[in-house]
Amino acid sequence: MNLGKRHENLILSLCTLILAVLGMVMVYSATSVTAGSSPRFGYDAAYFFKRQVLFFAVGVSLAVLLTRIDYDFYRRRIGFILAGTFVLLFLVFIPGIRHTANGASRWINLRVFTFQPSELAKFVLLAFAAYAIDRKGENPKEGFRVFLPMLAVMGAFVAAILKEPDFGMAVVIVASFMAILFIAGFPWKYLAGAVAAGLAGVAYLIATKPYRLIRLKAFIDPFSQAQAAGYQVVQSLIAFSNGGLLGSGIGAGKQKLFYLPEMHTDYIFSVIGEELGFAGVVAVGACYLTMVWVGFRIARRARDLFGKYLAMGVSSVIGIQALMNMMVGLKMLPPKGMVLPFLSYGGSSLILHLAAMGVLINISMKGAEGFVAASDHRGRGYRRARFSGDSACGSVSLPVS
Amino acid sequence: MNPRARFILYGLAAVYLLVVLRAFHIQVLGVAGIRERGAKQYCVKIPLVPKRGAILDRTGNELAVSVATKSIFVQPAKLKSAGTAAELLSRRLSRPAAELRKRFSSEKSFLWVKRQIPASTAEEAVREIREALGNGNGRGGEDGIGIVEEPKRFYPNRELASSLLGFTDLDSVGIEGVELSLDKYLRGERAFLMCERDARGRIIVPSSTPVEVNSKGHSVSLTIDRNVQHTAESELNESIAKYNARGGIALVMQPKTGEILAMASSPTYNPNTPGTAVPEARKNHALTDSFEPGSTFKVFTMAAALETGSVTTSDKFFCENGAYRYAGRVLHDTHRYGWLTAPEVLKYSSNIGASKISERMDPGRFYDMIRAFGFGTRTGLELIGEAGGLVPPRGGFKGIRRATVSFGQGISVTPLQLAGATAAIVNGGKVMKPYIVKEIRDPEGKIVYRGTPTELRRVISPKTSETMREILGTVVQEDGTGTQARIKGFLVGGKTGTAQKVEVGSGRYSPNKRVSSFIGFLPLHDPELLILVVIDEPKGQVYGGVVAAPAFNQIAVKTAYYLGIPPTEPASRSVAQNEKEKGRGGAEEGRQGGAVKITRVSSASLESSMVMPELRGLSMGRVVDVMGRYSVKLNLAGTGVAVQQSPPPGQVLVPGTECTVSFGGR
Repeated sequence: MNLGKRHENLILSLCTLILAVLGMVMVYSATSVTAGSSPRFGYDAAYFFKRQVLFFAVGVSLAVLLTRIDYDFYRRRIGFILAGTFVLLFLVFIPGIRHTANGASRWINLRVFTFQPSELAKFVLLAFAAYAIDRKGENPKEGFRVFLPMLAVMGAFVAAILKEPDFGMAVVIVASFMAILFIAGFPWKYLAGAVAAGLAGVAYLIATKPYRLIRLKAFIDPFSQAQAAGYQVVQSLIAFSNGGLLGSGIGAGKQKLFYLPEMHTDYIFSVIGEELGFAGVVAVGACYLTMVWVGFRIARRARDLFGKYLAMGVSSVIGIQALMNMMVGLKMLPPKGMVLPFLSYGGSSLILHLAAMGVLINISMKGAEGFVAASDHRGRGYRRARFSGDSACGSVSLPVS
Repeated sequence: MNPRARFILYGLAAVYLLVVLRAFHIQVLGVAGIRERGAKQYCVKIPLVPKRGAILDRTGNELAVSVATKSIFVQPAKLKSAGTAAELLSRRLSRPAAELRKRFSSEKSFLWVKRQIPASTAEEAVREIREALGNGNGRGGEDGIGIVEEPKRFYPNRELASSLLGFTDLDSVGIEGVELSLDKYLRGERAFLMCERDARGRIIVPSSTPVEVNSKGHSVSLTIDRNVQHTAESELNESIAKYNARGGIALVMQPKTGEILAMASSPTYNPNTPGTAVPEARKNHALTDSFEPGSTFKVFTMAAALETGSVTTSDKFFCENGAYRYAGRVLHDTHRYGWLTAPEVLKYSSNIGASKISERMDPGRFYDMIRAFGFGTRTGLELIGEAGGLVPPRGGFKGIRRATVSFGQGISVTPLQLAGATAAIVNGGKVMKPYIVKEIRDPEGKIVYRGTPTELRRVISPKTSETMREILGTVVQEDGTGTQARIKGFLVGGKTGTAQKVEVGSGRYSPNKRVSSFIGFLPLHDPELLILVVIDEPKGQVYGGVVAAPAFNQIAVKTAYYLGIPPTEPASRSVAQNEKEKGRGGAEEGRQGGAVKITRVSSASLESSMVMPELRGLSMGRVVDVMGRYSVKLNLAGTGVAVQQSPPPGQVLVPGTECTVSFGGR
């Protein structure tokens, strides 16, 4: 497809806006009745909606700002960023600072708002992966010596996140991190080994916490315990089923009221399924897929390896998280807490995902102007990064061949 | 593009495709069960009171019925002006406006305001509010207020048989008595108002009340006769009032079948407003209370002694001139007696004589006979809450314990047990299971249960039974203890009882509290009626022959005439006839004095009071109040105040007459 970078940026921005605006509408639809009749939210039907709009405004501003900041900044400061994020991750364990909800301490309490450091850690870890690949080059000869330290850093972050606990986030981070390592050309056997170790770890986690086992069983046959462990899954399926082809219309869904849990965060997709129907499901999914596709196109013409892998990391993590969330809602994966990027209610998630779009557009802007299809490098191995007028950044990986 | 990157991209695209396929399957093709499950959970079932089956007496008179009433509900979320509605409703229903306003501002989407009120009241109130809120055409609760039809339990005879019938709660669930015991049949299937919720959680009440399909309960016909019950209650209450007693019971039974014709228990209450009843009144004392029977129990000692052949009617017993030292204790008689024949022991009610009769028997046999009469076990009547009474254990049944049981101390029985056992004595020796349910019909009128006489066992021979009847006939003779039980036209038999009450707490016999009783039957030679009267704690007079026998007398004569039991003796000759019986019993000759007393008894006195009163202008409650005193079938129609009545005022009422009263607007 012959798309200029302007077109790509435009498509990316448009998809982002569609999802974010739809998100605000759906958050309002999902929460207005409950919030409007609850003293906790001051009987304000628009309580969640207003806050989401505010988050959106902050996020868009931040994104516009980040399109102006050369992404090389993150590469140069990666050590500092990594350390800072790690410290933030640990703040959620400190009583008085942390904010706990539903038995999980995932947030830092900032009085008016709460901040979820794991959302930041997700992007920071991918930036770190891009940085490491940028330093050692693709298909690194040292292999194991590069592979292990990267896994170690990720492992430390993921361990802290699991401790919160935030199983869903950990899964998303590991999956996207491994995807990036895979693309970077690490040998199959390393990746296979890591995946095997990861699965063993998951099995261990399930075996040690009985509630996870119950959830898994409930996933396999949710209707046998529709009032207990299988409740969420069953109610989500009912929501989708109610939606039919075109949905009940925005605001007319019934599931969000008394039945669907976490309807404005983890299960917003089920509300979409009910109120916008199959058409809405297809369209929302298509938006995400388009964003991933554009993200990968931007990566292809990024000016350096850091930009390339950062772009792929950001776009794949959004795609993976979105699809996983959808699959949970449709009972294709066992339930785990995980928000839908841009759509779900939540400040940290919305602001950081919008900011990530800002970074992606910056990578696009710094990259080469759109390329001709024929010049597409299909060959294996290292491809020299293109420069786009801007001055080269500090350390560019050396060509190996 | 890097093929591995391409792999990831295509992989994500493939997953997207799977998600779309899955969504297509669930949303467009549909998975069995999911949508139905959803539809089910939006449905709100608001329980309505089912139409409970009627309770009828043996002739079909209504003792408890369900009448149609209306209930007002409010949906606060849809109410335009909660303040106005609360204001108007509070005036209509005389409830504090503040309380209503508070309820209307709740988050609930459905609440009852007032349940089970007359239709006109409910409709007027709702119409007024709709007009005030400015949408007169709103129907089916679209404007947040509406009416649903609900039946309410109504007891047309008020206090009559109240402790037997019991009552229901607001939701028509049986709480006491027959209502509780036969709730399974009477209840009817629960009816629901099926409403759906909309997306804002509001309940949509369908404009038409769903038809109650299959929600009617079975109707229960009792063996009780309303008129007999009425007689039993009024005579019982008269005695209680006369002797300022704490309470009492009266039981009327057919000794041959075990059918119970009346079961009166005092104090009573009005089951239409059960909240006002004292706990004592809610109990059916004929079932739930056990008491030491006292002298009436000598009947069983005598029957057992005769049946086992230990004693014959000609045996004589020395009654120790009133004080008998036995097993370290002294037994007393109220009068001093010397030598008495066995029948005389019963006639004069000698404790010492009864004790000596029981000494002739093997204690084990005596004990087994007592159990065989049914003491110490529930009779198995269809009602809940029956007590079993207390019989000392077989091992401890000797010495002084056996001696006191022989005249009814140290054993406790329920009135029902006492009546049932006495029935066995006089009916030829068969223990019949008492029963009170005549039949149960389903809503279509098909009989699903029919009460039938059940012979549990034979306890004495017909010959012993006949002898016992003769002996019990002497008790009411001239110088017996139960002379006041005699009635015109019938030879009767019976036994008086006066028992000391055990003080609650100390466990000792009270110096002045007594339970006075009389159990009797008629006609003497072929008993059709068995009547037990127990008066609890009479003041002044305490002897069963004085306190309880007159009530027996009144109940017996009215019931016998009402049921049309043919008199066995010409009225004038009845006493002379009694003299002959007395001779057979070996008792002394006496004077013919009692007959004068009996003439007081006449069904005329009952009928003279039964004149149709002027009812016009009275409220329904007052009409029921007034007419409840008469044994008539009362039909009420409409609401408001009485405007028409049939028969007209002043007409003499025959029991069972159908009276219709129409009510209309004021």
